[in-house]
Amino acid sequence: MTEMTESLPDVPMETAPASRAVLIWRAIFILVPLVFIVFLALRLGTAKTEHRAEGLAPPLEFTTFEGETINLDDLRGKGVVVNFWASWCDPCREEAALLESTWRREKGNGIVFLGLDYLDQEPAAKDYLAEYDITYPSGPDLRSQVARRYGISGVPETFFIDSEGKIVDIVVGPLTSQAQMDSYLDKIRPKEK
Amino acid sequence: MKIIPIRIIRVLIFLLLLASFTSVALAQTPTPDTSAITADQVNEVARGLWCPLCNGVRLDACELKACDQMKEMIAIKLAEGVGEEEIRAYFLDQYGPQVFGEPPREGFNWLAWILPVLGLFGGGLFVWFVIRRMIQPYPVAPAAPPQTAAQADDYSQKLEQELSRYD
Repeated sequence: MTEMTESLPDVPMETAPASRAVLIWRAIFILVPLVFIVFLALRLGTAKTEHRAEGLAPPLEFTTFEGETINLDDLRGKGVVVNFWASWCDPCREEAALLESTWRREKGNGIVFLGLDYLDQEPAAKDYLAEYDITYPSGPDLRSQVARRYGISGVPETFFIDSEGKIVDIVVGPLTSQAQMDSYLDKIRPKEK
Repeated sequence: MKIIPIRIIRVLIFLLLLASFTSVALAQTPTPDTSAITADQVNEVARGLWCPLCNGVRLDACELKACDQMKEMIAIKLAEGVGEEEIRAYFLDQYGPQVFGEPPREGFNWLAWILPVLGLFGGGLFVWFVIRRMIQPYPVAPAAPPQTAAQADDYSQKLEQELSRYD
């Protein structure tokens, strides 16, 4: 038996160029997804929350249902409450009356309320505004551009922005009481000169 | 004091009433009657759209309130005689490209379109190389030259000698 095995021709199992090619392919298959994942992670980490990381409110501009254009930069010097809502959102209904009554009370005190309607339809949104008699500026967040910039996790979500344009507090979910609302408003109230 | 003739007063009242009715009529934008639009017609359009709140759920299959509102809007648009492409464009303006269930073909999002194709191409090449190597004929030793009659006799003699040792 041994003699027979020895007598077989000496054939290399794998040639050197072939094994090199396999190594290169393996490296490509590992490196390409790895580079992509790192690139994606870096981009996701920086793109969304540049302003928020510095505590500044991201740019905000929208047109209300009445056709008025609102820009956050124009409201510098005032405390701003930005509320993301939707007509299909039941928890939004829990805070709607509180938002409106507080707006009516505070509009002369340098506080502005803004409503951004998230992923909604205009007829339903207008019915909602009429139902709760909402008078503060409210409009659709078209293509969810503002929602993405602010990185909201859902609706309702409320941002309290001070007179210098810095986000002081974020409330995820409905505001439940006047005391809770007032405690946030006190933080963004413009300082009297 | 000059008295205004009753005829002029009547005309003025008529004009006033007409103006008030016209303003009321113009202020109201009546919702078109959607009763003639069937669920199948709505779903035909909805099948091409995706729920903006769920992941991977088509609008026609979604039961969220937000999606019901979208379907109602489709019915309204269809009743107004708006075509499917215009309805799709409307939802694109409202919700962005996510409503089409595909990433927009711009900027960084191009990667989502290019990478699968590159991956498929690279994978295909890899498989092709591997298969080619697998089906390559195994290298065989060169065939021994045919034996001459004398060599064959020698071999027979040797074999006989070896066998005789065991007798």
